[in-house]
Amino acid sequence: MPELSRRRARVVFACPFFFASALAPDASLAQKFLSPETAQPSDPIVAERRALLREGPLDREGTKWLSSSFRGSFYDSELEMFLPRAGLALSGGYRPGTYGYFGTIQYDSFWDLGQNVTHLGSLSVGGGGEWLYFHGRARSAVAVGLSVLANRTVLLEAGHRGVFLDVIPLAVRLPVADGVILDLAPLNYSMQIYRVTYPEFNLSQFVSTLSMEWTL
Amino acid sequence: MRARFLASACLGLLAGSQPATSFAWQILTPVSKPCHELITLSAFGEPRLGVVAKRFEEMKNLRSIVMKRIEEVGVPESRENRRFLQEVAERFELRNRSNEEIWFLASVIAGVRHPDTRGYATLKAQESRFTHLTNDSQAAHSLRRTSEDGEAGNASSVNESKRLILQTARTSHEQWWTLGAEEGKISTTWTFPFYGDNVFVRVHAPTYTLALSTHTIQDSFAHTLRDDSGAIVAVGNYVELITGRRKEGRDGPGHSDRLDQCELKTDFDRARFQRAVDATADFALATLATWQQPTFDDTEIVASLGRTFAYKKGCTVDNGYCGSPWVPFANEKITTPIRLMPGCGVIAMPLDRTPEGPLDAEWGLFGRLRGALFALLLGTPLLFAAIASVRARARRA
Repeated sequence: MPELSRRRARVVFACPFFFASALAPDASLAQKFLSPETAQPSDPIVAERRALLREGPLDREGTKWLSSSFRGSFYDSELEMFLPRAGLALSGGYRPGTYGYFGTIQYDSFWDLGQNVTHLGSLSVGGGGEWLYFHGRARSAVAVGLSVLANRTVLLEAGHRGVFLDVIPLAVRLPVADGVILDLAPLNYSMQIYRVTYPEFNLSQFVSTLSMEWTL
Repeated sequence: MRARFLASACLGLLAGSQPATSFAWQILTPVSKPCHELITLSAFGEPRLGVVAKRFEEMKNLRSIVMKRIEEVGVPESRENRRFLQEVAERFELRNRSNEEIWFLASVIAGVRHPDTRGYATLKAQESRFTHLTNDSQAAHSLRRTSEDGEAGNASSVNESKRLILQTARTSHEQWWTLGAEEGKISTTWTFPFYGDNVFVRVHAPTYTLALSTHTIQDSFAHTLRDDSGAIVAVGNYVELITGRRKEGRDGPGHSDRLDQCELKTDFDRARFQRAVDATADFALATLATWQQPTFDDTEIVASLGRTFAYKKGCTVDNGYCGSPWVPFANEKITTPIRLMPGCGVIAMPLDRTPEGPLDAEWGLFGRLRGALFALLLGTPLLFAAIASVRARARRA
């Protein structure tokens, strides 16, 4: 393979660190957002709303919610090689308390770069449970369900069914407006299992997820 | 376009995490051309890039004899193998060939790619490092080991490559005569999309083994400097170059990315490609000829290697490698050691000099880096969420 120039190599090597830091919450901005000293609105109603937004718990009982998510990864831990992936998900759920349950529908695209660029899509439908803590500012969740291949692979046909497991050990939640929460999960584990006998076909990746949640 | 961008970005990430992205004539990846594959196909009677081997007719005749045996042996019938042949036929435009011919050529292609991949997916960073940075792997790519210094190192490296090729040719002869129909179908990995290197396909053992050594022959036209007559004047260096310790007077000319390319832009490129094809065909014909007799007679093979690996003494960096016309082309793009950041040490470590043993030490380093990254990714938001919660509680109080 052609050697990349030194400069280019430095840039691309910095990419994952850039993405990691970009996905992680900006501490200074968050501090400013949360600090009562930095926000001095003249309108008392606005001030009250901002205070509620800042300080109010995000784990109120009986909450219904919807969210849309974007997630991606570069590395497949099952194949132990670079395998970029990007996906969209729509989820909705109900939280009786600091826990909840939800349903989700996801579409993921994978690109294999082994010899040529090859695309593979998968559609997943499932449900799961979640737990909120730190007054709803952090969340853990697990989801399981069915996955279907949208394209054929060399050994499996399109429509081949499998199962998926998503584990979100930690997501941080930032209120950005009334009833709107930005949910950042920098490191989730996502596994899709389509075939367990030789030749096995599993897609397992650590992914980063950015979600926008609307409270209904 | 998006796919190309994606491929470049991700291969860039790969390049950033491992040094051995450039090694030998290129093999097929999204960002490199199938040079080894095309040279081999041209040498085996399937001209590519408009280059026809000088001994094309001889190859056609000898190949037809081999094909009869392959027809007797039969092509493996697993689903993986059917896909393997289908993929090779599509990628290398072999669709109108018989199944037996495609299997023969697929075995050749799998064999010639193997020294660059060792059966691993091309995007496996750690395995790629291990494959290319060990001293033991250098001779298979017509490169010198770290212990092969100066002019003596040139001669030693050339002899080691010749010895390796001859040994492989002998093995292919043995396989041809001793393995039965089923035993002669050996397994190797083939990188299918999304399967990594987890799928095994079956190839024709003698053909595959023969192709392994054609890789070394072809690399001698990418990793050495030659004079006008085609004699080798210096053998290139990769390990010390990529690990940032090369001194040209001692360690030889550096590995050149320019010589890895097979875009036939200039007369030099076309002539070099033609020479690589002819040398491959020369050796393959000599080896295929030995298959016709039960006793291994290496006379023709030795003569072929003598022509391909002719070595001229007395050429050093001080005398411009005896004015080799290859030098200016090679120097257009010498491979550079990759450093993490300006001022940092090189990423690559010589695998054979780590006290803990080669691969473990590499895994250890990257294991720690990966662990630190995971801790950072999980720890930062957790800390942030905790602070946010405490502040909110304090404010309410």
